[in-house]
Amino acid sequence: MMLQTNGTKEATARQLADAHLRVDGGLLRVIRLRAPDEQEARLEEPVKLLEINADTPLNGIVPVYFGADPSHGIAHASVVVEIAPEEFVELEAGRLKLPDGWVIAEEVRRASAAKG
Amino acid sequence: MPTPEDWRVAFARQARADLAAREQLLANPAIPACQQFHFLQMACEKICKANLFRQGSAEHDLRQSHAYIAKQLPLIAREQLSVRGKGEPKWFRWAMRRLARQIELLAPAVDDGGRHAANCEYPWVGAGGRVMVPASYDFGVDLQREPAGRMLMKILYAAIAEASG
Repeated sequence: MMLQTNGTKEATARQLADAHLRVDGGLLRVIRLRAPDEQEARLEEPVKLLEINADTPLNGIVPVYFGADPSHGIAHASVVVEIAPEEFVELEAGRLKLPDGWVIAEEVRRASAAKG
Repeated sequence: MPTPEDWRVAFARQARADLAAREQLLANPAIPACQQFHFLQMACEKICKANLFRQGSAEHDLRQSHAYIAKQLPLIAREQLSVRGKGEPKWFRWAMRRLARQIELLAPAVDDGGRHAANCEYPWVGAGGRVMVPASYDFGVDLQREPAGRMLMKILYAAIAEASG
């Protein structure tokens, strides 16, 4: 099925978060990550999502790259960093580090909102 | 003479290079998906062989076949989830096996006994006798939006990093 998108990174982030919450049982929250402003503003800079998943192994910060998929409505490349809830605590406390100057930004979705 | 451990590390490092090449391909949306799938399949095959070297397999025993992914990748995932997680959730197990088989079938040498000619490297004869081209074919492998797809990729990256030394 062809999905619709308005083409902004915000829309891509929401679209991916909704899709991920539909299929992965352990996914609890999806939070946007942002690069430093100048880099984030570039069109080719991927949408970056921090996903807190109760089922994922504790491997630390492992960014996984995905391409854009315009034919299926995904307008931007993306990076997903999936961590366990206890790793999110470590990240917020500064004991885990994000790469490349990325910072935690706004929450995109959480499980109860998307599934309810 | 190289030991299985030497081979394990070497295969893992080459798998890491395959994933790095795949990332470069993903950055250019003009490049057909078959190209990044080719590197994904090769990376998966190499980390699966690396896992077999860890179990003592000999290099010459692993030369002939490409059909290791469907069996080995779920085992690698299960180990990661057992050792570094809370065990393997049921929903993940079936989804992981399905994806691993889909990735294995991307190799031209793996054709499910002649029933699956589609592959990411060479043209093949499809339904109705038409010649199909990988570059314009939809393989139906969607790691972004299928269950377990993103976790599979994370586990793949993590397993390769661990084995690369």
